[in-house]
Amino acid sequence: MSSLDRTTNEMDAMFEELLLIDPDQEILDAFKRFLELHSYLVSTAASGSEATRQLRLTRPDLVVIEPVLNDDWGERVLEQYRHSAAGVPVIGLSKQRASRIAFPFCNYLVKPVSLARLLESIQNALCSSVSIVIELPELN
Amino acid sequence: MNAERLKRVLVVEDELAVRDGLLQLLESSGYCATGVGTIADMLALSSLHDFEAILFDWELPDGTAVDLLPRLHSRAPDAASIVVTGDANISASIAALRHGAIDYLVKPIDPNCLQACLARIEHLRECQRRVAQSDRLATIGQAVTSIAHESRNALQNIQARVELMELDLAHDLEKLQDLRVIKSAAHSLWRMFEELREFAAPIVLDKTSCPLRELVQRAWKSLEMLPETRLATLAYDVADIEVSVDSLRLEQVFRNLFENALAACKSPANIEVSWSITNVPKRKMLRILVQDDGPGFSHEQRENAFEPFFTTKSKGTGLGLPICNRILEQHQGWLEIAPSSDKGACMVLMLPLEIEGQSSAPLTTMLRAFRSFDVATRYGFCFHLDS
Repeated sequence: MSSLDRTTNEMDAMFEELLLIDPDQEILDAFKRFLELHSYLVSTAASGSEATRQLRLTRPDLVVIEPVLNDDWGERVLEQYRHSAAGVPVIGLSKQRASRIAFPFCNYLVKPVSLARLLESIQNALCSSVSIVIELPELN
Repeated sequence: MNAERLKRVLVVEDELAVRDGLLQLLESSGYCATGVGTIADMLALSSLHDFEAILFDWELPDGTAVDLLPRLHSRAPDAASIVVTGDANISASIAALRHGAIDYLVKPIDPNCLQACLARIEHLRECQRRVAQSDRLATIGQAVTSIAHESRNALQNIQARVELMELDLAHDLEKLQDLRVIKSAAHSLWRMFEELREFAAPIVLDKTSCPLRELVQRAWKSLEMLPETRLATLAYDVADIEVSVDSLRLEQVFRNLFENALAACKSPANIEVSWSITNVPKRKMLRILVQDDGPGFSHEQRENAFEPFFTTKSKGTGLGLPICNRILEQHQGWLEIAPSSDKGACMVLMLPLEIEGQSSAPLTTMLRAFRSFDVATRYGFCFHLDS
């Protein structure tokens, strides 16, 4: 059965909270729409300042972040996360093949990814209690 | 290096006989030479900036080379200046060079010296041209890398939106077909950008030890993600070998070779992967064959397969094989086309093996699970990719 199948919605999540951080609002909107179909509570942040504001207000169960935010916001947000939300799984979803930021992402995906792959990655991260550091080669 | 010949040379010399001699010498050597007798005459030339080299006497009736050189550089900045003098004077030579002269020739001028001087200038110009070209290519490379990165956001948007629409239109087959076409077009764009980026960016390896069979299987499996699936079989015959390679990169090489084979073969395509250990001078290599049952390579394809931008596919950048070859070269191996056979096309991947006690070799292999009849160290497995 396809992971995109809506009949599996209720099984996918028990209203787990996700925070999606990406400078492209349209990407955020598409991901939010899809993940809400799978019963996740999704909030989004299109800038570093919005991301830090969200982090002060809520403690999501998982964060999906594009580490390449404008200027060095990505780094600052992750640094804040390191201190205020340690243990929360963070998935990197980036336009760059390898993160320039040393951060223990539980998974690191390169755009474009299918919605099924994103969902699978989120489900795996939420199921797994142990963070796995994946280091990809610095290619460019 | 094939330097481009200088075309136009100006001679500034007040002694008519010397000037005519130089003009004759230059013209007989294939240059278009012009002569004048004074600095004033030279500066009066409206075409001064067209000359690529200017020979002038150290001492002219209306000034010396030291007076002339700064004015010459402002009027003809691209021209190479060669000072000619009857007096071999070391301090004058130094002064001329410090004022920007390229060379300093002593009369009577040896034709060979003049030829050698002009050849040096041509060589220098060729180097400058190549440096300028490299700069341009480096800039283009950076631009390509940047565009490829930025395209990933746009492609992510397209992919996410198309997949959302597929969910919404699950029962409208006509619209689903349209969406598949959009997805396929986006995928083609993604491949094109990725190949250009790969070609422009340096290849940095991250080697790990992994079973070759698993790596080949992963590459084969990844073909299922292609928008256009094909009926195809990948075959090989037992046993495995452990290799120390950049597994993502080598997987990319296999994927590319499989895609090429599938594009060339009719359905159902049969692709066979096998490997063996072979000796080349001074080292042992792992020789991996990827054989298909298609029409094989034409003479033109054989000649140009590794040339960047050469392609026979209707879709494609022609960068796939050059990138694969770069990846293997980075592993200190190479990629080649096997001599033609009746069976189809056969690509050969050569990877160096680490020989016991020689730590400098880049690849470690560990043979395991030999079957008793595999004495020729030939391995393989078999599985299917169905449409």
